[in-house]
Amino acid sequence: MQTAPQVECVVVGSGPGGSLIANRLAKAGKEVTLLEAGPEMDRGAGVAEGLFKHYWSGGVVPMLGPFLMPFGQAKVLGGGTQINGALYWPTPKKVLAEWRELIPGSVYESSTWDASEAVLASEFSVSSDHQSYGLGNTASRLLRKAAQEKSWQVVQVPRAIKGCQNLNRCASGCPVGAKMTAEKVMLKEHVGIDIRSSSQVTVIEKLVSGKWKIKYRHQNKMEEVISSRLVICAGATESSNLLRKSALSKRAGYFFQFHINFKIIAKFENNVDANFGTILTDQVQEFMSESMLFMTSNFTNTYLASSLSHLHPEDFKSYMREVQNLGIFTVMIRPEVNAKVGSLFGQTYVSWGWDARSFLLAKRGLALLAELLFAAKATEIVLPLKAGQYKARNLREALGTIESIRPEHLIGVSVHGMSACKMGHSRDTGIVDLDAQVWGHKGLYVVDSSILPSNTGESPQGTILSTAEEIFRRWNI
Amino acid sequence: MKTAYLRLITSNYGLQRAIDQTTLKLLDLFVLNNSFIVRLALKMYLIFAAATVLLLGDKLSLKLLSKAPVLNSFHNLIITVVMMANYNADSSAG
Repeated sequence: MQTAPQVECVVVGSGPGGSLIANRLAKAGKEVTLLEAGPEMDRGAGVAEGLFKHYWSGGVVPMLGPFLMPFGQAKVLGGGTQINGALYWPTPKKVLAEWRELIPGSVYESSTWDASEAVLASEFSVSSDHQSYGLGNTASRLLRKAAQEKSWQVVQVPRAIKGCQNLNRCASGCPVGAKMTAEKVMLKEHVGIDIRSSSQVTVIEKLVSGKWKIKYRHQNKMEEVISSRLVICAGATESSNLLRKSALSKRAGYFFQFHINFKIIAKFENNVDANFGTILTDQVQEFMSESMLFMTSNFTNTYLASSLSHLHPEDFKSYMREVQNLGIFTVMIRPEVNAKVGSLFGQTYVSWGWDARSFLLAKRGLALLAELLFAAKATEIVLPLKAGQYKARNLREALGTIESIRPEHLIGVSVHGMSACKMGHSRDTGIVDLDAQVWGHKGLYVVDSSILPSNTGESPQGTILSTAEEIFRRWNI
Repeated sequence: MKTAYLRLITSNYGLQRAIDQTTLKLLDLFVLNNSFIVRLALKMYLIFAAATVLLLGDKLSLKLLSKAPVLNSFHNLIITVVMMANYNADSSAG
C-alpha cells in the first residue's frame, strides 16, 4: 500500500498570508509544501479571460441578500495580490485601536507591529510617489481637484508597484508584471518551497498520531500529503469552508464581514483619459471615520461594459459611443452587517442582510460621491441602480433618486471579505486563538483575512501581511 | 443552438464582435470555472434560453427572459459575460 508523503509544514493558499508564512517557514529551515487551488498567473490573458481564469467562480461568488451581489476572490498563485489594485495601506489607526480593545494580548498589541509594517512595506516596494507612474489620469485629477476645492481630505495612494505601464488592467492581473505580488516577493526567491499550483484541497483529516492528512485534487487526480503543521490561508471564504467541510469547526464562516463598492459612471464634457494613467492614484478620505472612501476605478472597455450592463440597451449603446468622456468612480463602504459563508454542492455563497444604519450609509455614500462628481463638472452620472431613473443630469436630480432608493434596486460588488474565522480569546468568541491556531486542534492554523477581528475599512493587503508576520513571530520557530 | 440566444444579446446591445469561437470559448471558460451545480444550472439555462428564442422569436423571448424571476438573474449574468467577452481584447478605452 502506498503511503502519503510526509512534510514538516503544509500551507494551503498562496495569497498574502500563505505566501508570507511559507516564506518565513522556509527561511527558518522548515520543509514546506504550498498548495494553491488556482493556476499560475496567465499574463497573456485578455481582461475578461483574466477575470474568468483567476477568480473563484469566474469572479461571481454569489452574495445572497437584499440584492444579489458578486464577491470577487482570487484563485491564482499569489492570491489577491495578483488581482488587486496593488493598494498597500497600513492598518487604519482607528481599526487597530478597536482590535486592541477587542482582543487584548493579540498581535495587534505587539510592540513590533509598526516596525513589521514598515519592513514589509519596504519589501513590497510600496510608494506613494506617483511620479514613477505619471500623475494619475484626468479622471483621478478631476476627483482630487473637486475634493480639494471642497476642502475634503484627499491623499495619494500607497501602492506596491514597480515599472507600471499604465495599462489599467490591475483587476485581471498585470500583463507586464509591474505589481509587487506575494508570489514575486515571497515565493520566487525561495526555491526551497515546494509550490503546487492547481491543487485544490478537498478535505483535511486528523490522524491518530495528531498529524494532519490533506487530500487535494491535482490535474483530476486525488493526492495526499501528511504534515504535523498545517496552515490554512485559503482566503476570505474558503478557509472557513474547508474547516466546516472537514468537520473541524461548526461555527467557521458565521461571522463574515465585507466591504461594498458602488460604482457611479460619470460623463464629462471633454475627454477625461480614464483609460490612461493608473487606477486609484488618489483617494478621498474625508469621510473615512464614517466608513466611506471615494476613488476612481479600473477603466477599460471591458470594465465599462460590465458596469453598464444593467442599462437599457439604447442607453448602453449611447454611453459606449462616448467612452472617452466617461470615468468610473467608486464609493467603498464598511457596513456593520454580519454575513455567513456557506457551501452548497461545492458552490460557495455568502448570505447577508442590511441593518438600517448600513443602508443609510450606502445612500449617504452615493449622495456624497454624486456631489463630488458634479463639483468635478460631470454633466451626467449613472447611478448603480437596477430599476428606476438611474441617470441624473444634476445634483438635485441625483439626490432625489438616491433618497427614494429601495435596497433591492442597488447594484454593488464586494472584493474584500474578512473575519469568517476570526481570532478570539475563547472558542466562544473566535475560531482561532491568539496564535491563529484553531481552537481545540493542535498544529492546525488559519492565517489570512478570515482571522481579522472585523472589516478594515481599507484594502486589507497590508493588514494581512503584518498580521501574518506577527503571528509567525509568536510561533517562535 | 445557443448562438441564436447569444446573437440576440449582441444585436440588442449593438456589440461589434460577432459570436465567434473566441466568444464561445470565453463563455465556456466562465462556465467551467464554476462549481458543478452552477455549471449545470448555466448549461440548462442556455439550452432553455436558446429554445425560447427559437420558439417565441426575438422580442417575446427577450421579454420573458428579462422579466421572469430567476431567469432574469441568469439573463443578466450572461449579458455581462457576453459583453466582457466582446471587449476581451481591449486594453484601453475608445
